[in-house]
Amino acid sequence: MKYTIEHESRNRFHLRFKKRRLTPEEADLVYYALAGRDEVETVQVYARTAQVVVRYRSDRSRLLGFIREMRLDDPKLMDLVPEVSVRATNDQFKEEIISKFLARGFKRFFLPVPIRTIWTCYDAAPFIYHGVRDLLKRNFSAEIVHASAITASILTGDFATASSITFLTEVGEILEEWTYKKSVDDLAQSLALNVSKVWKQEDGELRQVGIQQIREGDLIQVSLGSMIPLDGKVVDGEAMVNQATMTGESVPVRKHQYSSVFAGTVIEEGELLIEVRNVSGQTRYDKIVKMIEESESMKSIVQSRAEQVVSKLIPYTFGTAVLTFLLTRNVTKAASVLMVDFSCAIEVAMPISVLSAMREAGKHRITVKGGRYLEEIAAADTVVFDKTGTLTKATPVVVDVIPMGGRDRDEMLRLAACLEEHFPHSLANAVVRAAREEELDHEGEELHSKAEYIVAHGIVSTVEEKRCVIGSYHFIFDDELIEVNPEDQLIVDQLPHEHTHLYMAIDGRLAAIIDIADPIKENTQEVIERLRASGIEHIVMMTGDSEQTARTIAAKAGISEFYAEVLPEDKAGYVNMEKEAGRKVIMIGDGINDSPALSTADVGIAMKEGAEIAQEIADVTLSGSDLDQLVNLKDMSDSLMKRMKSTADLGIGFNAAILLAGMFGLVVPGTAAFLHNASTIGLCLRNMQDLLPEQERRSL
Amino acid sequence: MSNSHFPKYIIGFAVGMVAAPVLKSGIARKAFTYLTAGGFIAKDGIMEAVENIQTCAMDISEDAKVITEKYYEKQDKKYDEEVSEEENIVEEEEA
Repeated sequence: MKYTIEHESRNRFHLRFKKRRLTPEEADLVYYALAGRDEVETVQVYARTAQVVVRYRSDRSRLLGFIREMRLDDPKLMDLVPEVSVRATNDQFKEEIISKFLARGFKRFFLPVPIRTIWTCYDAAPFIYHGVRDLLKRNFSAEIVHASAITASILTGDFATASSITFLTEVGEILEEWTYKKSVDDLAQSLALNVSKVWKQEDGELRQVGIQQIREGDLIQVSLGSMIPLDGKVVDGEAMVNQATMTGESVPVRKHQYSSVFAGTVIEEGELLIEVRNVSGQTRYDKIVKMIEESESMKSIVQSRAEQVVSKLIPYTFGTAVLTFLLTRNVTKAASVLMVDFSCAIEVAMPISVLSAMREAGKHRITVKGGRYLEEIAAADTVVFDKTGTLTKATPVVVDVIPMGGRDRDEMLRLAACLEEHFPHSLANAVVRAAREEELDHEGEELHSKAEYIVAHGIVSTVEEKRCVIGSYHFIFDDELIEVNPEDQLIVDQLPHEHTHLYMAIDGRLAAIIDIADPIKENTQEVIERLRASGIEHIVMMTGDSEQTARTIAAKAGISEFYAEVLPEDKAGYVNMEKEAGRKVIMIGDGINDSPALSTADVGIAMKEGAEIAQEIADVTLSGSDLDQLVNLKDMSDSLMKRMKSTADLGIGFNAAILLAGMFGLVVPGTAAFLHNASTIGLCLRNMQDLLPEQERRSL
Repeated sequence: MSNSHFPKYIIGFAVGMVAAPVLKSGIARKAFTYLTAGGFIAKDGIMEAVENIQTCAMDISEDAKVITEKYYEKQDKKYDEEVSEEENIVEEEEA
């Protein structure tokens, strides 16, 4: 696309395209094509004037080259545009607000008074209707106060005040709806599927293909812990499916032959062969949005409590207005009192602060599924960490493959990778990656029969009619009672303690040991210290790994309390025990074996690189590999609580001052209405600002 | 009925008699359509002006930030020079 550079400064340029204007679709394409690039920090696209402003991190010339080569009909760029465009939503609401101001300016400066009066009455009618409706239902809401303020203004002939009240109230409602829609859309897009590869069954064989290659009628296999990527009908297999993303119910549902399954749901147990019925994404997206909007977790507990308190104040506001009139016989003073409404700040500005915090978290690639989870994080005093993939790097590395009993090393790695590739675990991924790097993959053909995954233990299968198992020490030696040749026992005893080990056995004898380095993340110790400083008193590590490995990692991380060789139910049991002791518990994990504990905790946090079921069950998902996000999430939650408190204090305090001023005749109704509504809008705008300071944002 | 208002009543009655058929006519409908289109074009024009103002304002703000940063850098440098001069003087006196 041809352009001119309108302005340039450090790490920022402002371009004008050689086009009169961009259509909304073209603007979306430009926005998402640029926003997805690593070197770009922020993008703003102005469709009407075909301008774009980009703030970038590095490589200006490469970025400008990309823009020059960009084509608006490029199908690859079109694929980057999501189902709902955040840019289009922002444009829509900006236009609504500006149109509101333009209409007000036109009405005020160009229309004759009689027409202005009629227009004011027309605008006021819906407010009065809603107020009367709520009054008849004995629902003491803010609508009644708005309606009474507007009616009082109209009856006293003060149409300017009535117009001012309706205008400012409508602007506040638009701001609230804008923040709400942005938060829901951001959250829905985070929850929407990001599946790129699926297992397709063709001619009795399984092959991993891109999801774009799947057509209606194709057969796909979905295993334990994986998300069902497309709507379909079960052809074979049985599974327990968690359908929370679709229906909100957390109890898994049994699916068998002929059952319908939905995209976005997760298999908790079993495996399914599915005939694809729907490859489109829109119905799925709409369902996620509906589920979010109906979810109680969207509203924070503090907000709900505050709303209950202020709704009780409404009758007192009326009482004060009546009392003022009886004492002063002055309609103006009584009308001034009616202009004050304590609930506006709570009902409008508070939800904005919660939704804005969720949106800000999303900007930092943290998905928070509801406002109340931010509250729980702020109140938390205990954090339970899983080890692998959480405290340690999400990409552990195979250091060595030690064959036993004279077996071939490469064949052992090839077989291990073939078994592990079906299941989502960072250690499994490490084995698969190592085999791929050594070009030891099996080219889509399975070397084994159907593999069965035993959570927190290992995998069982059959190779050439011999039982083959791979997994932890406990699984292989204590559960499967595998024997070791005496000459190999020394090797087992001398394995490095800080590494994790996978043991593979064939036909009852140890066949290979895979030595995996699972180093802790560089900043883990710093994160633990910062969590302690922010009020987390109790930090625990729980892992299914061996005692020695757990001890080494815990010492490096600075965690004094740890539990090794724990099963999923043990993790959940511990979390429950802490909750019963009166603690607020955050559980952080990434594997299938963390799901029970994630579900039990007050807040479950999953790592994005981990199992889909963990992300499905968790209340918060961290997308980066860096644990810094956790500290920033805690800081954001603490700041949100302070902001909500100050919103309530400022809202109630300022309005109380206006009420007193009105009672004593210090302000007229018009001024009281303006001050009340302007303060609400001021609070809304303040609450839309980011919670984290600039420096902390830059470190993310 | 007041005489001063009588002409107004006559004019109002006449307008009322003529207005309905005129407003329903094709010409009036066309006029409203073009008026509405003109309104949309005017609105688009205003929205474009708002975008241009917004982008200009952001550019001005960026330039102002650069100037502010340079100002503070100069101030910091001047301050550091003064401090180091004072330290040198103190060291000389001690020596």
